[in-house]
Amino acid sequence: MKSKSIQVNLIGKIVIFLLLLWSFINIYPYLYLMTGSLKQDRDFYTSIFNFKVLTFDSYEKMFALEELHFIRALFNSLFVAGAVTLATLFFSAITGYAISKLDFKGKSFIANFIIFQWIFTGTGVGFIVVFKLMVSLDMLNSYFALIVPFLMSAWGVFLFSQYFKTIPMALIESARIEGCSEFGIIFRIMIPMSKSVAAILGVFTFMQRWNDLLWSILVIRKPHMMTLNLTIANFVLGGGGGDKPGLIFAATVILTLPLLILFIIYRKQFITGISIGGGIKL
Amino acid sequence: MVLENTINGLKEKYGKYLKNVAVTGGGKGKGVKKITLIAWGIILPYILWNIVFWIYPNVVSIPIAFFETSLISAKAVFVGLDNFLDFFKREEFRMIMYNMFRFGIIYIPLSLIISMVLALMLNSVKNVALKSFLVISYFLPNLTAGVAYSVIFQKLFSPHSFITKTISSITGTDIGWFTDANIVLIPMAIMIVWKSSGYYALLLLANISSIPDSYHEAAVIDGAGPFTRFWKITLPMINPTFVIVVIFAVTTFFAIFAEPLMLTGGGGPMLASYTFRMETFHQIYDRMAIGYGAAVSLVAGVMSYALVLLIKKIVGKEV
Amino acid sequence: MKRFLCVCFVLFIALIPALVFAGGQAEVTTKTAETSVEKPLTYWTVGGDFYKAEKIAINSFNKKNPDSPVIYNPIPAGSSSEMIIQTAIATGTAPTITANLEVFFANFLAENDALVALDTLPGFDELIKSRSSEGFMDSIKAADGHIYVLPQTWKPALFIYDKKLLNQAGFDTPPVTYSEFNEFASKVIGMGDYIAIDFDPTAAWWKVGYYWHTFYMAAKGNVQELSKDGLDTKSEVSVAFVEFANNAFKNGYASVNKDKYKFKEFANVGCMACAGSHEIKKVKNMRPDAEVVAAVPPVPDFIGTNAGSWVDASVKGLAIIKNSGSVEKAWEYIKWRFSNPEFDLNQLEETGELPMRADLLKNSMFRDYLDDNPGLDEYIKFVPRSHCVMSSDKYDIYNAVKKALWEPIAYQKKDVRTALIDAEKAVQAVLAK
Repeated sequence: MKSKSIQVNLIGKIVIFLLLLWSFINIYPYLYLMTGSLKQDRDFYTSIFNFKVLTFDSYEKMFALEELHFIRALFNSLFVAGAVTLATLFFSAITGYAISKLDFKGKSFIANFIIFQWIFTGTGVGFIVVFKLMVSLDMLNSYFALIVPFLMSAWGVFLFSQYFKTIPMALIESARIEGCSEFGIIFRIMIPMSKSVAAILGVFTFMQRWNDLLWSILVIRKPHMMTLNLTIANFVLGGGGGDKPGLIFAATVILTLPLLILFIIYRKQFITGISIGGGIKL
Repeated sequence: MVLENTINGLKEKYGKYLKNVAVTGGGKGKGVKKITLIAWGIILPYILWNIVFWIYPNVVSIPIAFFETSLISAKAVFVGLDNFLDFFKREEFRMIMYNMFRFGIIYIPLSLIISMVLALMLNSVKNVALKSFLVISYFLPNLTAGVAYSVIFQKLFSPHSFITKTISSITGTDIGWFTDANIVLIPMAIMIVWKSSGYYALLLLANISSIPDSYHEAAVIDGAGPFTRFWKITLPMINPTFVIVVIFAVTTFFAIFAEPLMLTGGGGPMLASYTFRMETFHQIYDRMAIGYGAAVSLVAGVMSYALVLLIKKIVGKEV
Repeated sequence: MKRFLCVCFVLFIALIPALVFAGGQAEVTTKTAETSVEKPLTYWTVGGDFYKAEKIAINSFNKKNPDSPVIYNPIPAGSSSEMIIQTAIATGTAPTITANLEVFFANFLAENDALVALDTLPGFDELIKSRSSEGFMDSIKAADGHIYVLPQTWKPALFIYDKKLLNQAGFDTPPVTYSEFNEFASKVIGMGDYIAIDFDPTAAWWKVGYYWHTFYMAAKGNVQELSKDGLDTKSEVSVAFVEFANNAFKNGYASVNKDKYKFKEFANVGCMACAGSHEIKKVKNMRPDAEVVAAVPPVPDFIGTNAGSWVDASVKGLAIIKNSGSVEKAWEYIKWRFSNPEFDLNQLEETGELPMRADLLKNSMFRDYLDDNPGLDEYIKFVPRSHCVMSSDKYDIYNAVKKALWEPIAYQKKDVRTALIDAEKAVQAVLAK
């Protein structure tokens, strides 16, 4: 009996060791990124534990390099991802409210359509036509092209409508009797009660827009309109990466940091989100 | 975006909500007509947006694949199946299929095994603090943009990095991860395993942890070993999620874009890392051939959908 | 308070789409308004060091003309700047002036009526008098006899040798013939973890063209390998070049592991093949102690000597795009920029690229800089003896050659004969279209 418990103990330790090993593998590239960004280009290939050579040179160079439009790119990314997130939250909440709490003609059709759309989100073909639409609207190089095609999310509507259904109807009835309008109900009762769902939808939408490359590379051709992601890709593709690895790494740190901060704040929502289908779009 | 097919799996999981959504009542306090008006008013933006940015593009994109049409001209010439036939004839298509096969052989088993093992091991961890640390660290790679981790791994796998030097000295040959046509898909597969395994593991974990302990206890009393329990209890119980994870893994190839763009100059060497996305991008960005691009992505879409159906037939059967 | 916050929140969210739509609308209206009145003068410069150099010129121009300043940006990078410019023109997002246009491509655009003929503008003849040797301007004329590009840089392509490795291999001067080069190469790789030549196995189309053209001209003089009949794959010079490249990859003089062997960074490469003058500056940045020698590429043994050889020089310059803004203002800026030699000196100092001037060696302004950078002299000597490829099918042809010949040779998938036959077929297929 005793030997068996020792054996179980040992297995448990091995399991924990393996789990920690994998989490080290997951974290190591981030450490590499951080130390790499703190090195000068000439010391770039030295060991990551070589702390003597660390400087903030690359960051200074990055901000000084005017053609990178770094601040502007950071703003573009934040603005685009933020606007899409807020808009998605808003529209998802009101639409979710309508299909879960209001009884109206044609509701089942709309509800079915939303499920259908969620299943076929962005068929990988449609974006070509949207791109052509953007060109014919003369909307290349604009925030319009970066934001408007992503304003709505079927997944978001679905999430909100599911959550709203758990809120008792009596609450809404009493609010109506007190003279509250439908929008009043949405924003004073429903949304405050569904903060967790809003956080889940918000963080995933933000992440997807922040990390998007394919769409923004198609519609953005002017440097000052580029998102941060695209700016870095553009700089590397243009050959700038070859002899400036430190600078690229510094920019990549800035690219990674906002999501990392968001993740640390909303880690619970991220983890819950993936089990209910988050991150599936795109 | 090709992952949409995988949502079919989720549809099954959440399908029951569909009816619920349709039958939930409400709004009895006001006149039905007024409520209908308000409701349509509320969902009007959603409907309008959908017509312009979802229904229209998706409907138009299928016929457009049969036309030769450029980004700039409004003119479109009907060419029948020419776009498809031309694509099938080109070396690019052959290489994409070959790459899909090679990538799949490395990536699918590796990511599935790692994520399954991680999920099972995570489930056995009792320490709450440790568990939450592990879960958080496994989610980290999934946060990173394709551009960011491509930049990192390019240096991690560069010929002057510690990893490459070590492996080179063991094997005694020079290794150029991104310049050798035979092995270029290995670092790419490793990168994507790194990015997605933790995510798959967390998906599986959510389901594994919901299996009641009593099932396992009963099986232990019957004298079942850990492997039997895995095959007879865990795997059937988590089958819906497992199918989704397999679908994710198999359709990953259809969404690869940033990695070849950033690391191998758009699919080199000798097209050894070329993908569907890369070809679509090349057609609509460099050549401005919208019709051709739509044809390519239609081929990719149909193919990924066929794969999803196949997986469901093979893996989903056990339920 | 809560109610107030709620209202603010709603307003803010409702404002975003409104703002976006309004922003889009505003852009459209201003655009339509501008076509009738005037578009701002926009200028795409080359990125990197070039951008720094141009910035100085543009800023001082803007100081003089505060009412109609030049708005400048680097050309967005992509698979190639030509493609970017073409798409920009097609989608109506092109700038008024664009830099970095190769002559062949400008002439191609001109055929599609996208560029303004510069020689019809006032003061053109005076402007170019100081800038080019006689006869050169004739050579860059388009089929209709007009000139569409104002050349900004000369880019003669030479070999840059690492002087230390050259001397260690027992050479005082760079090798002249293929067999001499091979001797040098075998000695270099015998010394340890080195390669002799940095042929790029996954070279982009323009680089494949660079290689072929430079080697070809070094052996044949002022003759183009590209003509209306396609690429010359049959002459013994072409065959010898492909065999030379094949030999280099086969014997390990060149490596497909291009990330490992980098002349600019790691001091493990014997020479840089077909490099422009700006590479000298880049090498100095990364390896301050490196000494380099520039020389003509080696020639086949049956040619024997490279005396009097020619080299490739892609001439790149500025063009004015039609319907993208005021031609007069654009021309005014260009005239101002190119009649001030100090900006040329500035360009030379910042980028290491030779400005297109006839008096580079004579003008005392440039003397100091040239004395500090000895490698550049060699480049300037070749300025009169360099020539660029004009064929407008260059892009498609070299893309085909890259796939059919260069990559298979680099990765040793085809022998020389099959590669040449395949390349010929692929080129003919391009021409048939």
